[in-house]
Amino acid sequence: MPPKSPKTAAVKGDIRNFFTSIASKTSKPQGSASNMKDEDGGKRKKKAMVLVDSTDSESDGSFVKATPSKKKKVEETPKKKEVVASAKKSNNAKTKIPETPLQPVDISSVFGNKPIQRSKDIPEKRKRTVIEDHSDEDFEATLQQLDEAPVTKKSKVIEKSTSKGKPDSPVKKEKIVKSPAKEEKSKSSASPPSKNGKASSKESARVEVKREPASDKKRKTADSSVSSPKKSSPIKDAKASEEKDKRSRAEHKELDSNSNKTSSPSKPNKKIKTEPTIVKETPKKKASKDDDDPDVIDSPAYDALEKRKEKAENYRKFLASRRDGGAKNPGSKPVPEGAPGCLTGLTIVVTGVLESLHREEAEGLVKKYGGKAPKAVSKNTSYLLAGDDAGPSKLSKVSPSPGPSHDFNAKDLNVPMLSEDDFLKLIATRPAAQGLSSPAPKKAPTTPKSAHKAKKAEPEPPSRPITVSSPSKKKSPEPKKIDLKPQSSSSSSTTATTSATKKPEANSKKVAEDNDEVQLPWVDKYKPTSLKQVIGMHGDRSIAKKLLYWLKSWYDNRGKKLTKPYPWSTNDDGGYFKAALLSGPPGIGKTTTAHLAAKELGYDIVEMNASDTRSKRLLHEHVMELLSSQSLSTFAHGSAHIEGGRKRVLIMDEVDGMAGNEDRGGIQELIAMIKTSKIPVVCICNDRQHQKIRSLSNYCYDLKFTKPRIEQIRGAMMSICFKEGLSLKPEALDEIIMGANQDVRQVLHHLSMLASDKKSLSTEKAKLEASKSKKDLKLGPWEVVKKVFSAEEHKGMSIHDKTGLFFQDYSFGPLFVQENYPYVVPQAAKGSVIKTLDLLGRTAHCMSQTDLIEKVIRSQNAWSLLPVEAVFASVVPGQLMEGFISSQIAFPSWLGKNSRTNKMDRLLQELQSHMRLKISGSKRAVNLDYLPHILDSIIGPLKRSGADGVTEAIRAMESYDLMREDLDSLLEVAQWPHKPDIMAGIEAKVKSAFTRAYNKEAHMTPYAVGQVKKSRSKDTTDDVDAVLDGDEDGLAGEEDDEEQNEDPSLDAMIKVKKESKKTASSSSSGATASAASKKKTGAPAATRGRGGGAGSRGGRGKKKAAE
Amino acid sequence: MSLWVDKYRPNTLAKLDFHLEQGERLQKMVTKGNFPHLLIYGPPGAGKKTRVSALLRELYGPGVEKLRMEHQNFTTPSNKKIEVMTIASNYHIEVNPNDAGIYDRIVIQEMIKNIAQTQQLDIGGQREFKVVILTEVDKLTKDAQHALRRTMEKYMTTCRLILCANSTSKIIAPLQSRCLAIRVPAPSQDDIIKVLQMVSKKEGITLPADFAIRLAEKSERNLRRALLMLEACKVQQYPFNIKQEIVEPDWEVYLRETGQKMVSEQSPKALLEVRGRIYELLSHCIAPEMIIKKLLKEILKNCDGQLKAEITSMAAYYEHRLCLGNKVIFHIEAFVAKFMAIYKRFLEESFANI
Repeated sequence: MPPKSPKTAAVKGDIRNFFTSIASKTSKPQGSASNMKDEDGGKRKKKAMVLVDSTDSESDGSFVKATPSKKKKVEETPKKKEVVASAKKSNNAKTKIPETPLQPVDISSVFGNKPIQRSKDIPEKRKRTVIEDHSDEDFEATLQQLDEAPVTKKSKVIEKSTSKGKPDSPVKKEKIVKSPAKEEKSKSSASPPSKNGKASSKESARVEVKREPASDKKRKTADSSVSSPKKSSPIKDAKASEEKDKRSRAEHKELDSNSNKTSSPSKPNKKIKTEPTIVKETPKKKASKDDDDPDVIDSPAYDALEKRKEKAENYRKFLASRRDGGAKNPGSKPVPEGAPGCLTGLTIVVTGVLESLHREEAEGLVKKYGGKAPKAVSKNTSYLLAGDDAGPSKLSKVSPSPGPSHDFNAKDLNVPMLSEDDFLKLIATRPAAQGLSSPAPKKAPTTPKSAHKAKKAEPEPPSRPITVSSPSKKKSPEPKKIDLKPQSSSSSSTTATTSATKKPEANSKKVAEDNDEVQLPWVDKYKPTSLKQVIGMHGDRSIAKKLLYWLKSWYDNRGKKLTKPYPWSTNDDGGYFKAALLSGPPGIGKTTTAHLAAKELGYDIVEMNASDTRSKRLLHEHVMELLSSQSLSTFAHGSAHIEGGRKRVLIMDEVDGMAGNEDRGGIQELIAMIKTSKIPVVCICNDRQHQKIRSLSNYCYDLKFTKPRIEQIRGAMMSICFKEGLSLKPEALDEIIMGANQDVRQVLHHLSMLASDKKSLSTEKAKLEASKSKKDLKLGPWEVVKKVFSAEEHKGMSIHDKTGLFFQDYSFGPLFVQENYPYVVPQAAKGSVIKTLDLLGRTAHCMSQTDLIEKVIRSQNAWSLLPVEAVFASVVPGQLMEGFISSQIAFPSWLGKNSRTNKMDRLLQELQSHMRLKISGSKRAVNLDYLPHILDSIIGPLKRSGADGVTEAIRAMESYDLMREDLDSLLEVAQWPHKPDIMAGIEAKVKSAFTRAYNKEAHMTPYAVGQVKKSRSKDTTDDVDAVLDGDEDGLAGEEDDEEQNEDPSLDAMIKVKKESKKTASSSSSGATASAASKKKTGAPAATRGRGGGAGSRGGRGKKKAAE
Repeated sequence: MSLWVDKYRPNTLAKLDFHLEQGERLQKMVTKGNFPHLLIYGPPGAGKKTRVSALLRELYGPGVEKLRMEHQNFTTPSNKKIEVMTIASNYHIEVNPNDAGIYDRIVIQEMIKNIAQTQQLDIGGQREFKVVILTEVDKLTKDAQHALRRTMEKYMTTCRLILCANSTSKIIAPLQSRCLAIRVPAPSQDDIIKVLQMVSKKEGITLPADFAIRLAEKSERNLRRALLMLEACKVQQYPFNIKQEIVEPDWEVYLRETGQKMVSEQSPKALLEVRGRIYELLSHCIAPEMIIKKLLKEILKNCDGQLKAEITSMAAYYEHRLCLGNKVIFHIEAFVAKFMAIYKRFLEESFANI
C-alpha cells in the first residue's frame, strides 16, 4: 500500500486508461453489463467475483483498471511489483490521465460484451449527441452511448467520476475504489496483471481516442487482444468475454457509486454536464456497442487531448498504410491456391490494413475466385475482411460477435468479419465454384452472416480480455492479426513469409483479358488470319506472295551464290537479299502481312517495333545474338539444314521510327546485322524515301505496298458491316474509304464508331462523316505543286485550302512552285502565247514577291507573315496559272544550283587569297577578268608546245602562288557549258608530265596550307611520289611535320613543300632523321619538324643561288 | 613571269599614270602627317588598290612590301570557327571581312581591336599608327559596319583605317562621315590607251593606235581588263592586226547569248532555257546585278524608244528587288518573264500594224 500511495494519481490515470482500453475493446458487452447492473445492484459484486474466478490474469488486469481502489488491493496480491511498474509508467504519462475517463467506459463495455448486444441504436444516438453542444466527438460518442445504454452509462459515469474523483478528492476515489476493491479482493489473483493491463490500456486508449469513436475503439480492442499472446485461444476469449461481462457489472456498480459521487462539486463543470445527461439517458437501453462506451468515458477535460492524440495517431496510421500500400507486412503470408471460382457468390468487402495483402490484392483475390468485392458493406455482403484501422462505418455494420451468446443489435447488418488468415483459409479450403464449406466455421454463401457472426464472436471476445491484460502497449496496431489468429492459429501469421502479391495481380490481368475478348475493336476482331485475307493480297504476283516466296526460299538461297540484281529489275525474287523492306502508307496491312507470311511458313517471329529502344548498342546486344545464332538441334541431327529447329524471322517494324537519341546508330547497326544475319529480317517502314531508310534499302529486297483500291476495301468492309449489322450503302462506304485515304485500319475504326452510333447511314451522311474524318494528309511537295496548279483540284478548294497547300511545307513549297510554273499550261490563256507569257510574267512577279516576304520573315523573324507568303506562293500563282502541268514535276533546281554557286564562290575565294600578293583585284575581279588569262598562261604553253611547255606552265603557276589544286579550281570555275573542255587539247601524257614535274619541285607559297583536309590530299600525292622516286621518303615526312604545325604564323612565309632532288640531298639526311624520329614520338615532332623546315630553307637558298 | 597587269603596276604615288592630281594630294597628305581614315571607292580596274599600296609605301617605306599571309581564327558566339586570311606587313594589315560571310562583324570587332590596342613600340622614324585595310567594305553587313563606327574613333591614335569599296551607296552614312572619301574614277579611254602604249613599249612590242583604241573601248574603262586583253591578244596573234578579234571573257559571251535568246524567242520553253542559263551564270558567281545589266544592254538593242523605257524601268525594279530579296533567280526570272510578255505583245502589235 505505501508504495502505491505516492503513485496513486498516476495509478488512477493508469486505471482510467485501462478502462478506456477495455471499453474500446469490448464495446458491446457494456450494454449487457449495464443491463445486468440495472437488473441487479447487489448481484454485481457476485458477478465480479465470478469474473475474477473465470478471468485470466489479464482479465484481472482489466478489472483492476476499472477501479482505482483495486490497485491497492492488487499490491497486496503477488503482482505488486508489476503494479509499481505500471504506476511509474503512469507517472511518466500523466498526460494520459485524461484518457482515464474513457477507460472506465471501456470496462463497462467489456462487461456488456458478453451478455448483451444492442448496438443498433448507435447512429441515432450519435445524432442525439450532435444535437447536444459538445464539440468533441468522443464526448458526443459517450453521450450517445449513455443514451443507448443507461446501464453502461452508469458504469461509465462511475469511471468518469473515479477519474474525476482522483484529481478532485481522494475520498471519492477511495469510495469508488472500495466497490471495485471488493471485487478485486475476490479476484485477488487477477489484480496484479491488471496493472500491466493498465499500462497497455493507456496506450490502447490513446490509439483508440485517435480513431473514430465507435468503430475505432472496436478495432483497438481487437488490436490489444491480438497483442497479447494469452488471448489467442478462443476458449479463453470466450471466458474472457464472460468475465468482461461480469466486470462490467462490477463496474456498473462502481459507476453507480461514482455517479453518486459525481454530484459532488469538485468535478469539473463539463463532467457534471455529461453526467446529468448520462443520468437522463440511463433509463434508455444500453449502448449497443462498446465503442460508444469509451467515448462516453471521455470527459470534456480530456477531450481536447484525446482528440489531438487521436488525430495524430490516425494520421500516422494513414501515412503508414499509404506507405505500405495497404499491407503491414506485404507478402508475409502465402496465398493459397484456391479452387477456381471457390468464392463464387460471396461478396467480400475489404477494409482496413491487412497483414500481408494489399487491399487491392485482396480484392483481386476475391474477384479471381469469382467473388465480388464492392467497396461498401451492404446487406448482400457475405463477409467483411477487416484489417487494422478498418473503416468505422463498415465495422459498425459488422456483427459484433460478442461471444458465444450473440445478441446482435437489430441495426447491424451482422456481416461476419473475416481476418486475413480466415480469408486465406477460406480461399484455400473452399471447394470450387459455389463450394460452401469453408475450412473454418464460416458459413455458406447463402447465409454467411450468421455463421460468421458466430465465428467472429469467438475470436473477438478473447481478444478483449487479452488486451486488457496484456501489458504491451505497442500491440495496438496488431489487433487485426489477432483476429486472424484466433481462428487459424495465433502464431501462424507472423511466421508466414512468402509473398502473395503477384498472384492476385496475375489474376486481375486474366480478368482484364477476359473482358477484352468481349469487346475487341473491329480492327483486331477482323484482323486477317491468313495471307489471302489481307486486302489486295490475293493475287499471285501480290506483294504478300513475293514476301512469302522470299521467306520460304531464304534459307535455301543462303547456300547459293547470287548476284545483286539490277535495281530496277522487275522479276527479282529477292533471293540475293537477306532482308526485305516493306514500305507503304499506314493502315494497309504491312505488319499483318509480314506476320502472316511468317506464320504460314511456321517461322517464329521476333518482332521489334518502335516501342522498343533500338539503339546501336541494344540492337547489337540483344538482336545480334539472335541473328547469328543457330539452333543447337541442327548440329545434334548432323544436318546442315536448319530443319531441326524452328526457323525464325526478325521483324523490324517501323524502322523509319528509329530516330533520335534513343535509337542512335540503330539503322547502321541494323544494316550490319543484316549483313551477318542467319535468319531473314523483315523491315517495315512507311516512308521509303526517308533519308535514313535509303541506306537500309540497299540491303533489302524492296517490297512496296500500295494502297488497295477502293473496290477492294469496299468488298471487305461490306462483309464486316454485314456481320456487325451495320447497313451502309456502297457509295457511303466509298466516301468513308476515300475520306480515310484508303487506310483500311482507319476505315474500320470509322465504321466501328458509326456502328456504335447508328445502324445505317445515307450516302450524304457518309459524305459528311467522311469529310469530318478526312485524314489530314501530309502531302509531299510534288502533290502540293500538282494541287496548286491543277484546275481540277481547284474546284473544291477554298482559299484556305489553297493556303493550306503552302503550309504543307513552307520552305520547300515556293521552290517547287517556282520551278514548275513554266510547265503549266494555263486555262485562262486559251492557247494564246501572249496570254500565257503574260500570266507567266505575273506569276514570276508573285514568286519574286514571295522571295521578298520570305527574306523579311527569315531575317526579322516575322513569322506572322507566313500567310501572306502563302498567298503569293501558292494561291495567286495557282489562280493565275490554273490549268494542268504539261510535264513531269521537277525538283527545284535552285537547291543544286545554289550549292554549286557556293562552291564556286569558295573556290574563287581560295584562288584570290592565294594570288593575293600578286594581284590587286578582288574575288570578283579574279572571276571576271583574271581567270581566263591566268588559265591561259598556264595551259597555253602546254597546249602549244606539249611536254616542253611544262616548265613554263609551272613557272606561271609559281608566279601567282598557285598550287596544283588551284589549277583544278581554275579549270572548274572557268569552264562554261558553251565552250569545249579547256584541257581538251592537251594530251594525257603531257598532263601527267606536268603533274609529275610540279610535284617533283618544291613550291613556295606565301600562305600556310592550313586546312588539314588539304594536307591529307597532299600526303597522298606525296606517297605517290615516294613510290616514283624513293629518295624523297624523308622529305615527304618532313613536309608532314611542317603541315602539322598548328601555328601557321611561325612558318607561313618560309614554308617549303618539297625540295628538288639536288637541293634536298644536302639537307635530306637530317630531315629524314627528324622525320623518322618524329614518327616514333609524337610530342617533340613539332620542334624537329621546324628544324627540318629550317634545313629546307637552307636548301631553298641554295636553289635560288643556283638560279 | 607575271601578267603584264601585275608586272607594270606602279608601286609609288609618283609613278602613277593617271589621276595625277589626286596622287599629288595623297602625297601631301602623307608628308603633312595628318593622316585620316580613308574611304577609297571607285569602279573595278580603276587603280584603288594600287593607290593604297603606293600610299602605304609612302607612309612606311619599302618595308611595307614585305608581306606575309596569315590565317586568323575567330570564334563566333555560336561557337563556330571562322578562318580569315589576312595580308600583313609590319605596318599594316589587310583583310577582307567578307570572307567570314555573315560573321564579318566578329572579324571586324576582334581583329581591329587586337591591332588597334597595341601601340607601336619603335616610333623612331615611323608612324605611330598602323593601318588596317578593309576591302569590299560595301559588301559588309550592316552589323559589321556599325561595329566599325565606334572603333574608328576610339582607336584613332593607334590605327588608321583604309576602306576600299566599289560604291559608297552601301556604306552607312556614319562611316562615310568618319572617313576622307577618295573617289578613284575609272581611267578615261585616253588614260587607258596611254598605259597600253607604255606597257607595249616596255615589253618591246608595237601597239597600233587603232587597236589600242579598240582595246580601250572593249575594256569598258577597266584598265586591268584592258591590260589583260592586250596580253591575251599578244599571245593570240602578234604582230597585231587592227581587225584582230579581241578575246572576250566567256561569261560575257554567255551572257550576251542569253540576252539574244530572250529577244529571239518568247515562250514558256524559252523562259525555261533562259532560266537554265541564268542559273549557270549565277553558279559561276557572276553578280546578279551584272547579269541584269548586261541582259538589259543586250535586249535594248532590239527595242524601240518607248519599249526601252518600259523595259529599263522594269529591269531597275527587279534589280532593286533582287537586292532586297534572297534568291536572286526569282527576280531575274521575273524580269525575264515580264520582258518576254511585253516584248511578245510588242512584236504582235508591230506585226499587226504591218
